[in-house]
Amino acid sequence: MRIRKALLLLLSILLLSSVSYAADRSGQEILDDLAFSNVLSGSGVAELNLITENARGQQRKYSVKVYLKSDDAGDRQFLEYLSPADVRGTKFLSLNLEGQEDQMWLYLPAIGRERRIASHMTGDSFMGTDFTYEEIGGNFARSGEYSAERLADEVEGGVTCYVLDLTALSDAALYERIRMWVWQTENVPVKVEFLNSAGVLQKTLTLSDFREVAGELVPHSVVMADNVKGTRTILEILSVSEEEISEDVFTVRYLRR
Amino acid sequence: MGRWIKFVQHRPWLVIAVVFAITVGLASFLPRMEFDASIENMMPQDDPVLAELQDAVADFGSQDLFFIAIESDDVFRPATLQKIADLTAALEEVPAVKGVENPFNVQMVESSFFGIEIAPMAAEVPQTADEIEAFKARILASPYGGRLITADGRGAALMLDVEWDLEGNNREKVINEISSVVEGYIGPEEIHMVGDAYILHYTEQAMKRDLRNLVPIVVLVIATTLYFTFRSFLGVLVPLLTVGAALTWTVGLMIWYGIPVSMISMAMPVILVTLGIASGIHILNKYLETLGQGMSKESALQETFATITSPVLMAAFTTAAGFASLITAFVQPIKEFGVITAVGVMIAMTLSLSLIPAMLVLWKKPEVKQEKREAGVLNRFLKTLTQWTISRPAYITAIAVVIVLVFGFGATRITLESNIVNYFGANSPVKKGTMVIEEIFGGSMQISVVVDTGVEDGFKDPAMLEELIVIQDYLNSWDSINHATSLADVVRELNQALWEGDPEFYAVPETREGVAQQLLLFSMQGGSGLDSLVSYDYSRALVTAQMKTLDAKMLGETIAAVESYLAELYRDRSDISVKLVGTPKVMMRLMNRYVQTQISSLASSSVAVGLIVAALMKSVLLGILSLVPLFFTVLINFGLMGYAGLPLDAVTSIIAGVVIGLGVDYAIHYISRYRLERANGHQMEQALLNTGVSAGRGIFFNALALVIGFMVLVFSHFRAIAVFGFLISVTMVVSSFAALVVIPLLLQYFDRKKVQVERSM
Repeated sequence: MRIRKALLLLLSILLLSSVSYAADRSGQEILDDLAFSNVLSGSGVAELNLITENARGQQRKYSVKVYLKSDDAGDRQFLEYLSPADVRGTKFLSLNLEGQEDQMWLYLPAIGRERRIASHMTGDSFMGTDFTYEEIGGNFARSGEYSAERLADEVEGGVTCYVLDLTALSDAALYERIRMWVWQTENVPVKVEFLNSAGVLQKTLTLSDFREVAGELVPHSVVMADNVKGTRTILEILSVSEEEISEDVFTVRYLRR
Repeated sequence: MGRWIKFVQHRPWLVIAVVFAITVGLASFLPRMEFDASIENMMPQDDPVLAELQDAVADFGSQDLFFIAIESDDVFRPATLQKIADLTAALEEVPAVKGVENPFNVQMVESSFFGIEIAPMAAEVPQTADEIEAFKARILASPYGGRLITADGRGAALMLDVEWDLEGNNREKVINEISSVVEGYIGPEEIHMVGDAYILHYTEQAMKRDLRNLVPIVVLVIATTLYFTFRSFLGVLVPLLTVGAALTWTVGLMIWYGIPVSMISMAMPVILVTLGIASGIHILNKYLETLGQGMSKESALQETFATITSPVLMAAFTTAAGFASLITAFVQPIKEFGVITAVGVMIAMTLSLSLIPAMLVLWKKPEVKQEKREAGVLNRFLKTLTQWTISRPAYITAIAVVIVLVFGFGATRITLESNIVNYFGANSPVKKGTMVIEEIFGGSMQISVVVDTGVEDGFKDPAMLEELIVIQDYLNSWDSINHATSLADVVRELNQALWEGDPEFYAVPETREGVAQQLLLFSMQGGSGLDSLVSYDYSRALVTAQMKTLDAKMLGETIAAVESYLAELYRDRSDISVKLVGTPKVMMRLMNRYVQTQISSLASSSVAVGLIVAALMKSVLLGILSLVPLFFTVLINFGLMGYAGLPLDAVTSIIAGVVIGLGVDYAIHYISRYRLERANGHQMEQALLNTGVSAGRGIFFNALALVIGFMVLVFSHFRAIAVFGFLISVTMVVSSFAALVVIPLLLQYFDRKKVQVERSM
């Protein structure tokens, strides 16, 4: 259930917890301590604009509301399109419960019926955006997959950053090399560059507009640029909250509500 | 001119040094030579047909296809199926290959037990007889049956998505990588590469090979001719060095100005060498003749250039005017060829009048063997011909009228051609591959209809999607157009899948929301390919199809019919506009303009050449008169093309204008000699007889030299260039012969009518 995992991780970007700042750390320590890599457990709601942009700068803009719940029983997600008007009310339900078969359901209001969607996906793109499922979750640099070298500090996005040069340790890694700018005082990445084996810049992830949500720093603008295709995907966080979601939301019945 | 020759006689080394320095300077550009065979670059860059194509490329991506076709008696054999998969995997390893669509991995939208899925046609390569039967049934029932694999098992196709860099700089490298992969999989199946990029690559390679072959051949042929003409080292070397320098200057200048070698200008070196040699022969002949009269080297040179300069200048100007007339052409490379060759002719003339005398000054006085210029067969033939002509004007006129009628009728049967593939012979891999693709898969090039609603989200309107269906069904009704597809197919497939695969729901949803939500579903599910069917804001959509392009007549008729049908269909609609785009349309545009090129270049070269002759001879009548044998020649050329089925194409459409400039030399030569004879006090008949023999010899040898040179083009890899070489040789024979028959006839007629030709002198 990649969409489940992706949404889970998406929310984990949004709900970052900060880690204390230490003066003289190695690249590996910085990487291991990234506030980012922590996977959220619990539940929450986010409302966001999802903007895709083609190589000619033309945009398609959607706004969506995401409900998420993760606990011992398993993970469930619910996603609803708010705009544009012609897709308003389109909903996705994804359930990955312990001891049950993974399920994914779609509700198209124009048809007025829910349909089950096959769970395996073709293509790596997350919902037709420039993010892959791994990237949207922020687990593009799982510990142990990369060795980190610390380069000279730089100012990026107006803040002083550690600069990490990550080199893949195994073939399993998504990218041969990653360069990451980590905000020193907050321990969160503000920019990530993904390079292929030839050293060509493939994608650039930019995180900005950090705001405090429930005592934690959350980037409210997340931009992924595909430098090869010339396309971009922009996530604008409109609101984020950590709250308990009713089990009723994660039911097929609720799709038709 | 006398003073110039005296200067050269005093400072031969200076002249040689200057020529040498310029030659070396311009030769330094040669390594930067570029080749361009792109059909788009044949159009003026501001042409509306090209602009529409470029707009479509910007909105929907490349409109070119790149196929690899596997041809076999049964591609459904397990080994061949496995080969398709292996070849795909190997091709995906090529860095510039972004994707390979094959009969297994092509996406299908389906309704299954698990729900709606967008899944590959076959997850695994089918191997057992049952698996193969199931796969066969599945793909043949899908839109990809006939497109990626054929029901009769004769062919399977891989569609490559290749990342060409902006200027196509990686084309050579990528095609070489792809072809070396493909080669490893050939046999027993045949594997063909087809596509605009491959054709372009193959064409440019053939151009390079051609240049490497043709230039040495023409040099060898010319050197041999020179040796048999003069039987001396000097006679071979002096003209060859001069023409070599002229060619280097011309090509160097061309590269300096950033003009790439095109399929047309490829013929330029051979043409220039041939023309340059002709004037070199002329000069040397006169020099040797003068020396033979016992003159000293100095006075022989003076005498030679005093008499030769004016005809050499005149020939150069008229020839250059003929080539320069091509500037009125529509096709860019033809314009470039015309200008370059005109410049080259002027350069060759300049060098003939500077480098040749400088070399002759330094060369020791050649031994002049007294040639026995006995009457011979040629003289007897020329004499008889002239006698016959002037004694039987009515016969000649009657024969001429018959020829005009017969060849005029032939000219009406001329066909047009602008498919580069047809510029090659039937055994070339591009032609063979294209034929296979067109026969088995129904088309080798993409033709598209851009449908514009003018409003954002226009194609979320079900009524607009229905219009796409109307258009694609119409396109598919043509034999030469196949597999038309559009956004409407994606929407219909999705709708069917949403309704559990019920064929009744293979239809466009009834509401705008229904369409929008299904499109959202498609892109969310990871479905790809929407971008090549609809613009990002859903205002414009594309109906794309494969088209057969090898039959030019069918291509032209089909495109014209489709365009007028669509224009009529949407004439009164303000909410929708349609445009046909694609390489086939560019080809049709070019074809239609070849006729215009003929008329404009023929008219402008006739006017320019006529004026030059009129000015030099101070007689309008003679200006017009000198053109008559040429119109005759051009008509015979067109008639021949019509009867022999030789099409008017980018290369053959330059013949008419060029022939006027080249062939007028014979008329000039004849008329000048006749006026000299008359001035020497001969009566008309005697003057014509004398002219027929003396000028006739010169005309014969000049035409022979040009025919020998031009015939080298017959060795070209390009059928079109070979045909051009053949036809231009024929026109040289015809125009020289016509000058010897038609001109005396006309001179006689006007002389008798007391139009006092001699007084106008």
